[in-house]
Amino acid sequence: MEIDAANEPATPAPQMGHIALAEMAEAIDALPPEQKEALLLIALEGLPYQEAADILKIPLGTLMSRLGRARATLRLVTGTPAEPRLRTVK
Amino acid sequence: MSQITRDMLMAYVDGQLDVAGRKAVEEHLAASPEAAAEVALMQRQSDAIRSLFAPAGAEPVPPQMKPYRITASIARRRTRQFGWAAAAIVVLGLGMAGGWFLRPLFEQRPASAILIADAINAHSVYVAESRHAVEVAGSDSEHLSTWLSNRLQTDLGMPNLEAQGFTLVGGRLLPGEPELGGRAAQLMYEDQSKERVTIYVTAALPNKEPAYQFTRYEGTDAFYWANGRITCTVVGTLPKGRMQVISEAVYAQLTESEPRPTPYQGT
Repeated sequence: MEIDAANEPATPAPQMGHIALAEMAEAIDALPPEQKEALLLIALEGLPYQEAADILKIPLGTLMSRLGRARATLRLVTGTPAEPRLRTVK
Repeated sequence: MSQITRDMLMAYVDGQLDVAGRKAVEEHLAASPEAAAEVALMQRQSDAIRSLFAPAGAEPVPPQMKPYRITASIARRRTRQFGWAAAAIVVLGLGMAGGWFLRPLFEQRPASAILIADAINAHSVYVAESRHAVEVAGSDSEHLSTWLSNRLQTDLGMPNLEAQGFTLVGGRLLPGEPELGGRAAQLMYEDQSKERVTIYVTAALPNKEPAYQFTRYEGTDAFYWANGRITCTVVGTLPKGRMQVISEAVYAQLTESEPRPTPYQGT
C-alpha cells in the first residue's frame, strides 16, 4: 500500500463524483455526433490528432475545432467558467 | 514571445505535443494560473470520459479494438474470411486424403485374403526361377519336411502328387505376415511340361477355424483352406480341372496326416 501511495501523482487530479459523472455522460450524449466522435477518438482512444482526422476524413483544423467546441460544451457541465479569458500571452 | 493558443493547451492535455511544445506550454502554465486551471479542467474532462467509458477506458485499449484499426481491418477481414474458408477446405482435403491412404489400416482384411495374396505373390516370384526355384531340393524330401515342420512349428508332410503327374521340385522358407505366424513354407511341384504349382503353408491361424476359399487373380488360381493345424494355399495357372484335382489331392493328403482328434473334440 505504501508503495502504491508512493507511486501516486504528487497532486492527484480531483475526481469527479458520481453525479458529476452522470451529468458528464448526459452532456457527452447530447453532443452533436461529429463532435462526440472526435472527442472520444482523442480523449478515450488517445489517437494522434492527424490520425483521428484521417479516420474521420476531415482536415486537422476541423477536428480541432470540433474538439474545442465539444470541450467548451462540457465545460458548462463541469461548472467552470465557460469562456477562457486566455487568448494570447506575450 | 510565444503565443499559446487554446488549441495548444488542448493539444497539451491530449498529449499531442512534441517535447518543445510541451516545454513551451508548461512554462506558460507556470506563469498563468488561468491557463493552468484551463488545462486542469480539460484533464478532468478527459479523466471523466475515460471513467465513463470504463471498462474500455479504464485499461489500455487493445490495439485490435482501436476504431482506426477496426476500420482498416474490415477490408482485410473480408479477404481473411476467404482465407479461413480455403484453410478449412485444405484441412478437409488433407483429412480425406489421409483417410484414403490410411484405409488399409482401418479396413480389416480377413487373414485368408492376406495369405492368399502372399501365396500368389510367392508363386509368381519363384515359378519363374529355374536354378533357384527352391531352397532345398525335393530329392531330400525328408530333410525338407523336418526342416519346414520345425520352422512352422507344425507337422508338415510333403504331399505326393505323382498320381497327378507332378513331382516335388523342393521347398523354401519364406517370411510371412508377422501377426499370422511370421513364417511360411512354399512347396513347388512340376509336371513333365514344366508347368508348376506351389503350395503355400503356414501354421494355423489364431482362431484355428476351418475355412475354404477359391480365388482367381489375374489368371492365377488359388485354393485356400485352413484347419486347426495349418493353412494351405494351392496356387497355379493350370486349367481349372487340373487345379481342382491337384487341390483335392493336396487337401486330402495334408488332412489325412492330421493327428488323432484330441479327446475333448469327441471320439
